[in-house]
Amino acid sequence: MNARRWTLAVWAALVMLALAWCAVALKVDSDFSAFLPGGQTQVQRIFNRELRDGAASRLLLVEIARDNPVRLAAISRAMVAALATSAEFRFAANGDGALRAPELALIERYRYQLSDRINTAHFAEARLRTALEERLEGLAGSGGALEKRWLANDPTGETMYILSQLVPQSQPKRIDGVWFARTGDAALLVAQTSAPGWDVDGQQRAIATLMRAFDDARQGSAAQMRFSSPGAMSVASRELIATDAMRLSMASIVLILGILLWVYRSVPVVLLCFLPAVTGLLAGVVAVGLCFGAVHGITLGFGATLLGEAVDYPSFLLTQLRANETVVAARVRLASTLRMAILTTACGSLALLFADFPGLAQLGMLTVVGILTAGAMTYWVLPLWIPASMVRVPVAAPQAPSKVSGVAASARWGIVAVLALVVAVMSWNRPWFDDDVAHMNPLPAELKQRDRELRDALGAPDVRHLLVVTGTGEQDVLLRAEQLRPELVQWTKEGAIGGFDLVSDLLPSAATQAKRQSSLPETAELRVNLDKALSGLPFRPGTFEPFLVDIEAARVASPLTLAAMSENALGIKVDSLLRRETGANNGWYAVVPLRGVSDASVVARGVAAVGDAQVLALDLRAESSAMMAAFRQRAMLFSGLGVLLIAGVLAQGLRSVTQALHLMLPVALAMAMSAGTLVALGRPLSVLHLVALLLVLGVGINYALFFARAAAAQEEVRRTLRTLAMVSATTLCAFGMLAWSRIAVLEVIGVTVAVGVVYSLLCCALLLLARAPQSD
Amino acid sequence: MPRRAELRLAAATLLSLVFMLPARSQAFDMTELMALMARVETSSVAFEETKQVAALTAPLMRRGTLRYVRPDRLEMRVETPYFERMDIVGNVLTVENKRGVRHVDLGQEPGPAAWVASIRATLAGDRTTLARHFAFQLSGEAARWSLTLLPIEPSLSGVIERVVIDGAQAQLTRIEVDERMGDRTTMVVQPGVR
Repeated sequence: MNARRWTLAVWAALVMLALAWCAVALKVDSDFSAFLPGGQTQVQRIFNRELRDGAASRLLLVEIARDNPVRLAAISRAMVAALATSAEFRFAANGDGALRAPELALIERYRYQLSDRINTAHFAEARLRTALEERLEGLAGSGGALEKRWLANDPTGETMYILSQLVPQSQPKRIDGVWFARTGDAALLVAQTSAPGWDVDGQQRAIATLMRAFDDARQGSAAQMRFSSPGAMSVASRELIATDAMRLSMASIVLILGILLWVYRSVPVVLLCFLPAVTGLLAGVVAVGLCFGAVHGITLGFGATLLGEAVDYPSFLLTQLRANETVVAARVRLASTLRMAILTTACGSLALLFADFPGLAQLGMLTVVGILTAGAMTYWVLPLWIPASMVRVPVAAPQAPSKVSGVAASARWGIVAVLALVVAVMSWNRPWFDDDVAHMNPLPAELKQRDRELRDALGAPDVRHLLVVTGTGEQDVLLRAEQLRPELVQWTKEGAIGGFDLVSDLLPSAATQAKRQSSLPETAELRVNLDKALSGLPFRPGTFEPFLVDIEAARVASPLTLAAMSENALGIKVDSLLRRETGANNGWYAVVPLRGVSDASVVARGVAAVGDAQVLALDLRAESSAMMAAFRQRAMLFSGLGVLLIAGVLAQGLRSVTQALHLMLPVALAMAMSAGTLVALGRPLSVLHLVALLLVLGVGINYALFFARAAAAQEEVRRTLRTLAMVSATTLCAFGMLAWSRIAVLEVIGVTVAVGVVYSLLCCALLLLARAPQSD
Repeated sequence: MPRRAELRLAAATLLSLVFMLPARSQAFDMTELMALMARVETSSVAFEETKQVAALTAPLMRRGTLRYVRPDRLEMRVETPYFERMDIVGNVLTVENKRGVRHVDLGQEPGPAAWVASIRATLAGDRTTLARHFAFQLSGEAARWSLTLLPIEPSLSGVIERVVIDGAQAQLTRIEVDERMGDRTTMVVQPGVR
């Protein structure tokens, strides 16, 4: 057959092309933030960016336990020493002298630009006298050794003052100078990776370095290490995604193959049935790769489900074959039903395609392209390739109405009504919607739990409240940050917040630095003041010459810049607080984390009082919930659009709006009952459930279409039941497998669709076949 | 035979004498000092501290009392020239002066912790703790001994070069702290106060 030959050639060529492209250009990534919402507003973009490559995304929390404290402390020290010199880490700390020599040297060098006490009066006789008396008293007291270190060049104690401002008040407990958990049985350390959190390869290298450092430091100790970081979670989730995708795909493919083989009892037919699905999957992957640059591991895991849906189309065709009918003839007879089935399923993925999550959009793209490709192939190509003689499905003879259709119509409506009532009662008074972004996180619960434990132990809770100061440039942002300081201090005094990290404390604006420098006295003037202040005090003459030299140097010193701080723990800190926006608007912004917020309303009121539109107070949890609610509404909008489109496709195909609505009614009921069932099971609906419910509509409509056909022609009832039994079995297999996934996104979609398929089948069977006896 | 036995005995005596000689001159060792100290339940002494600081023309003097209560309390009370009280119980150091009262977790401050450890562990006869922070060397005899402590941890050895504690029996007589920058604090203790 000519047509058969050239279609085969074209198909083969296209498949080869696609495979070649995959082999050369396809990138697979597993950045789990792809399944977190993308940003619509500036705040959301900042939020997202901080999540992807902010300081928090690079933070690695480590716990070493199961040995005596002295040994654990020694291991902790050895590890920090090893990590500090490794290229994979920017810094490592365990509380052992949190500020090291380079940081101290930097603070000492720029002390007259960093200290906010610097003004003209600070170096007048009276203040100098007070400072010198304090030094004398300090020298005599128990802290004498520390006093002496900065006596000669810093008699006003600026370095100590700056240090006292910088060192956080609350730190973990220490044993032997090293951070320990409150219980005292685990040493703690933190490290910041060089690679940002989204760079899974970089994170994997960092973790390998960490493990090596631990093994080297352990030296035969029985100590054990636990660690957590967004990066470590990415690495773990990449492995999880890979194994889950493989495991679930294999399992569902085997199950689906088994069902097909059992029905057709012919290997060639089964393979031919698989062809459209596999081709669709390939086309979908290529489309995602081209549109998104890379295919997410989770998207590939979802591919198995696509297979489960796409093998339905050949089944719709082949299981409906009449005696002595060619496949081509059957296709012509079923054309409009098949067309509607394919288009409605594609429309069902619309909400996924337009979701605000790049990851979900990928799933949508894969499904839409895959379904359309598989459908088109089933519609136009497959009939040419399968001779009817190959298919040996037992052909049903015309028969009496089955048991199902024998039940009175009113009774069936009764059953559906009772079922709906039960679901409604069960879901009554339970929370319907879930807008917690954490539940969207595809990471398994055990990893999240470990992270929470380590955070608690280190007193490094997730930052929830922060201020964002935006500006046109670095200096603009720093100036605005400086103006915030009095407010922040006030809130701390009032107890509304426990503390804050303000970037301008570490890096004052150039203007402020210049102002402080200009208030430093000239050497001659300072010498006079100092000599007067020294009279009667037992300091040896000439002791403070270094002080005079330092002040003179500070007067003309170049300003402290971000560049001067790089490769230094302080620079790393500044880096995490002062950020440059990526993308088109070249703005800068400062993040001001607020610790221990006990009264958020004070913060909100205070920010409003500042009256600077560039200063925003963020409650990340509230923000993300609001974001999720907005996304849910958008998802509902697109779901609505999807429903309208499906209705349109049906109305056009059936040439009747009433008919279309009649078909959609049982499926809509099924969707409502699925939603109710999920809520009743204590699983409030999130965006994910909504997009999955639209998938249910896309799949359920297929069942409705075939039930309606069967109802119209009595002889096809048994054949249709067989078709639907098989089709729903394959779909259930595919989505049921997803329900076992440890990845939240896949699990939710799997559970929702599996429940939905069962309800759809039930409602369609009860409501649509009910018409059959009446029409007779 | 008896001759040989005598010879053997003589040789043995000689040998034991040879080995006993240095042992006798080291009769007072760390174990004995620690045992001696461990018998003291509580002690209270007056001290006079002289601090020589390079930057100052005159030494700084402080007077006060030092009190130890087994097992882990050490109190230092400065009466002149400024009032200051340091009370260490367990792992918590309380510093009280005219600026107020401050509590410091010694686990968090390895510097003062080691300094405190040196005196308190000596008073307590706690060799393990001493050995954790210092390399030590003991000379003299029970009636007059001198214990030299060299800090191990860089956080302390960067500031303090050595601590020398002199004593007679279970009584401390003098504590000298030599700092890296050449400054020296000498605390002379007069026993039997209160």
